[in-house]
Amino acid sequence: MKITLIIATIGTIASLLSLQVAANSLFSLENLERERAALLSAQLDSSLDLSQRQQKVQGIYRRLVDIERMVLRDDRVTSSSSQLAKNAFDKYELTFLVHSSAEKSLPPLSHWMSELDLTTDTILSAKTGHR
Amino acid sequence: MKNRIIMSSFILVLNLGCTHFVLASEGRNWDPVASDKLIKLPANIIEKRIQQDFEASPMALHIVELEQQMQDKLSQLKSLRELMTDSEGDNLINQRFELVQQKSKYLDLMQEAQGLRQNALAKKQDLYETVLGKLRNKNGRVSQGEVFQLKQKQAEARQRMQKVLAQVDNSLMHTGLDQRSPYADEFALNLAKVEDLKNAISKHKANASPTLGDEEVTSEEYVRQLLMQASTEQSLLDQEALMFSYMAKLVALDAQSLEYEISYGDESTELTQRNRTKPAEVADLFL
Repeated sequence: MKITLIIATIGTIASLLSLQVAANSLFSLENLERERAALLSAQLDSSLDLSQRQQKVQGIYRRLVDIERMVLRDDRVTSSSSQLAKNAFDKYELTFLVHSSAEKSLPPLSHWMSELDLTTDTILSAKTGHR
Repeated sequence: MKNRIIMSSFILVLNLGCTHFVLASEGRNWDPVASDKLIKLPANIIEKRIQQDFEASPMALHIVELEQQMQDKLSQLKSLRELMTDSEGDNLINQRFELVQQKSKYLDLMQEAQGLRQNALAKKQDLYETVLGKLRNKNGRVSQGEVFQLKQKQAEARQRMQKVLAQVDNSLMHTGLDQRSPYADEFALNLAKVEDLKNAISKHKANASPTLGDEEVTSEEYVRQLLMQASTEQSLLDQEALMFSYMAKLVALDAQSLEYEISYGDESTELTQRNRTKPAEVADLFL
């Protein structure tokens, strides 16, 4: 009788533990990707003036700090070998833009551009034309 | 008649001397299986589970029965030996015959128990080897798997982030965002509790690593040690088998000597030289 109760308890605990896996495991990473894209869009949006851009970027920056930390602490992200998760961790510099830019003491946009080799020289030497 | 019985017991004892161990008879077997459920248990519990399974098996119960019978037989042998010190003549012959027979029966029991023990040990060894193989496979699969590599990368990234946490928080302050976000507040609040819970888990006895002596070891190392122990037991059982074969040989020699004694008389009895008339002794009669 006692053993049956113990087994039933273990079963309940196992089902509680498995609840975590049931949710979309890449949810936080997808949010990060969206938020980063929003940051870059805001930085490159020529329709915004300086103060508008600064205000918008600040809000996104703050959310990105949180969400980058959430992704790095979220075990669900790495519970399956999805291509999205693999790419994210293979390219730490680009994925975790806020924290990796802090390592180099650069603003996130400058860091992003340097990672993609978008320097003043390469931009000025670029020519328009068909690919 | 007695000669025939002695001869048959002599042949029986000789057979015992061959030390050919038969496998456990049907229905007295133990068939352990290295199931996935068993592999998931902590290594020290695996050992206990296997021992528990063996002790509940018909094979182990039969070994216990045989041990009891052997103890009874031993006390019979002891009392017979005591009786023999005061006996002589035919009575002594009968008791010696009885002693050989009882020794032979004792060896029968011993042989059966020894065979069962060898069989159980071989099965235990096979089982430990399978468990070790499965543990190695599991660890190999985990360490080579994509998920494992991804988790490694995440852990590295987390360490990297940890180094710049304060720096990023400072940069938030500099940009005028001096209030922490609800996530950061809640996370900091929960973190201490999470650490306490993690500590409680790591100290929980059900989560303790197996130990050898005072040293904590991995499951793989523990099972390897169990295999070493099984080898030691095997070696001692082999030595016991050798002792057992020598005991059987001695009983065979006892039976043989008894047979010779009954057939040809006591070995101390000298063959009387038939009286032979020597010419020298009778020569005087002719003088």
